[in-house]
Amino acid sequence: MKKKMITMLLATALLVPLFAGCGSGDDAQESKDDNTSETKFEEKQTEEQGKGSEKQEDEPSDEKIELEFWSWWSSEARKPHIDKVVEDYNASQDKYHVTYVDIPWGDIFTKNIAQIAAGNPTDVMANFMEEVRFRAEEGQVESLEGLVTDDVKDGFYEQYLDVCTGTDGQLYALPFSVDTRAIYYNKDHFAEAGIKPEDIKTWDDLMEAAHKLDVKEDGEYTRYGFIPLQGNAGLDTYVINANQGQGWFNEETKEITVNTPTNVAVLEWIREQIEYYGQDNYNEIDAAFNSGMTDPFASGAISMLAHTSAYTSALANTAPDLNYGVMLFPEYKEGNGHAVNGGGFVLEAPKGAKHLEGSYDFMKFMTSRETQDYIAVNIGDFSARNDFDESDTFFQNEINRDLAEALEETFTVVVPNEFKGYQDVVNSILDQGKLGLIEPAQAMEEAQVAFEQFAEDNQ
Amino acid sequence: MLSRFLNKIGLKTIKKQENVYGYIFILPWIIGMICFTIGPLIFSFVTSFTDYNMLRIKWLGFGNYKRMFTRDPMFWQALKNTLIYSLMNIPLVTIGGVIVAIMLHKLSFGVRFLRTVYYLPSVMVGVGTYFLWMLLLNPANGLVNSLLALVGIKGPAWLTDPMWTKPAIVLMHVWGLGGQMLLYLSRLQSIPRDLYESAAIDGASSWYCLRKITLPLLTPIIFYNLVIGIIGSFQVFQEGYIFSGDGSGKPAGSLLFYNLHVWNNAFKNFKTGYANAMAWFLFAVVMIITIIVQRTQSKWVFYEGDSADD
Repeated sequence: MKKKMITMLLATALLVPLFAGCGSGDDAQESKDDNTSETKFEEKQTEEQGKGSEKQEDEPSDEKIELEFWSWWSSEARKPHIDKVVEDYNASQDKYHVTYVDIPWGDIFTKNIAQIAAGNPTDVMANFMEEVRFRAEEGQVESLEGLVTDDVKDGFYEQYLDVCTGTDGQLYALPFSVDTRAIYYNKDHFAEAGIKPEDIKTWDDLMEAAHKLDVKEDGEYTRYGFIPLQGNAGLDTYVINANQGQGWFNEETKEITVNTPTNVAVLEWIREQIEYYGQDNYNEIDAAFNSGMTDPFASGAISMLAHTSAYTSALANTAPDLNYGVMLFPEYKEGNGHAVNGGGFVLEAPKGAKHLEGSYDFMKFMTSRETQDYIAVNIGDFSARNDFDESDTFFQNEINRDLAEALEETFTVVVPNEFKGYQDVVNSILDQGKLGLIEPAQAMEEAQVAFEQFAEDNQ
Repeated sequence: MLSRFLNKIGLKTIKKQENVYGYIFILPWIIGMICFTIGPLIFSFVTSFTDYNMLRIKWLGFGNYKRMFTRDPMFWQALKNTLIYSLMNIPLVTIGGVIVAIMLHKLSFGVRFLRTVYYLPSVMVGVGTYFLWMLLLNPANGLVNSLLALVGIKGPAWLTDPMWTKPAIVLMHVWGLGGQMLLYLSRLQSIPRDLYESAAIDGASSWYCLRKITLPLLTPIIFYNLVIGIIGSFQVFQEGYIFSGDGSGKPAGSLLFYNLHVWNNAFKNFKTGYANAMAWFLFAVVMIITIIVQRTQSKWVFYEGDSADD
């Protein structure tokens, strides 16, 4: 008995300092920041006062407040430029010092949520634009209300600010970059086949041109004109295009609209095109894209490809000499419009960020006209700002001009919180339809039922 | 210093003091286990009865379990995919490992070289291997289909056709059976030669020796590999995550393995409580299967020490 008690005592004695070491994130963060006591007091006071404006802040101290900025941008094409703008920010003011940390894509989101749960998150985080509202609802992100001013808001297109606004009407993030989808075409192939991009107006025009671009040798395709669903435009892109911006549900009314005559017709059209080339050929091209080792468009094995605006930077690396152009995603039927789905990235302060004013100040700098111009020119990202015009360096490039046109008919689908994760149940059924394992009408019908049940359970 | 303190609190004998030292030495491990294993285990069990999103928690009772069995079609699909994969993978890798080990054991030269060759895939781990296999399994010009074409077989679209995705993963695992093979081989090399010699004197054929000497003596290793293999097969995750490209388990949900569904719910949809409930159900399934296998071992596993009783 005595022995047991002593063992317990010893264990407790050793555990106490351990748990003390694991203490609250606040303490750990404070010691990490190692500010002067004055600055710490001021920071806390400012937070308590309800996030006053920058001007109301106290005198800058000698020691800067350390901030961390997390994203997954680690490639040679991006990281040096992100480092550069972070350095510019650090040089632009005396109060904060930002360190850029790139975390691998596979880890960043789980690490971020673990940090938030522990109450000790990074100060600024890059994230998906489409899910800002969801994260706000889940309590993963800090509101920017009280910090963001009208002049900052006025710098962005309303649609992107709207996506960054929670259901409570508060702004939770600032848009960092946006993207769109368009058709990339090989100019040399077009010249050879005598096709003009302006003649391709509808989906049927696209396939007519595609068949002119097809090349067969000994009965085998050596070049494909266009294969639907390849590149970065899935069935949802075609559905959004055909429905003039609406996807699988109505964002306003929350009505689920998977099984509609238009959507069935869209899938039937896609199956028709795949069957034209043959399922085996489609599978081969699909495998080539998925392996990530070869890009059939870059190598000239495909003449037209639907992809996002970010594809230009990939092509600059894989096929710098490729002679290509960009055209709008064609219309489902004439006069239907060129709607496509797009998204983008935002900068936000994870819930529990200790120096919210500093986080916001950095986000403001990163989304400012000057920084966005640098990012656009050097990385190729499109900005959500409304104060760019055709005289800017970025838009001197013909491809960027054409992509900017596509951006005008780009819809960002925000999944309502009660629908979050619906793709898990819907996509496997639609996949069967895409692969021809079940009829398009059956695929849409089953997907509609599965989606409705999912939504009901998620209420 | 410590000894003086222990004397003061009444622990005067060396034996008692050594006991305390022993506890102190294992204390880091005990703390680690409590903090990082038992603690999270209890926490995940408790939260499996809640609506938990890592930041907020709400008691649900058996809601997650009820939903899992009655309202989530993807749960059943993920469980089915995992079971099919396990049923294909475990026997093939186990039998393959035994066959390769016996073949290598019979060789009179080049054993070391071939042993290294067979073991190499086990050293190659991680995402790189999966990308390598994506190239090997390319339906148009991958090595696998090119080899099949040599014997007049048109290979399938391994990773695009939902019918062939699981066999593709099993094929990849058969390629990596070197780890199991090595265990069998080391056991084979430790079987006393006099057993075979006595059998030969009695006129036993090679096949008879294999059935009556080699395989029975391998059964403890087969049993071990079987249990580890069952646990490992139910944990399949990376293959589905990487081969489907976006972690969705495509094509047509054929690569949606149980753990991938758990992961998607925990970290994509933030239904962590639900994911925890699924994880505990998986634990129960694996535990039951392991117990069944354990119970059957007296019927087919032969331990050398028991031979005296027979």
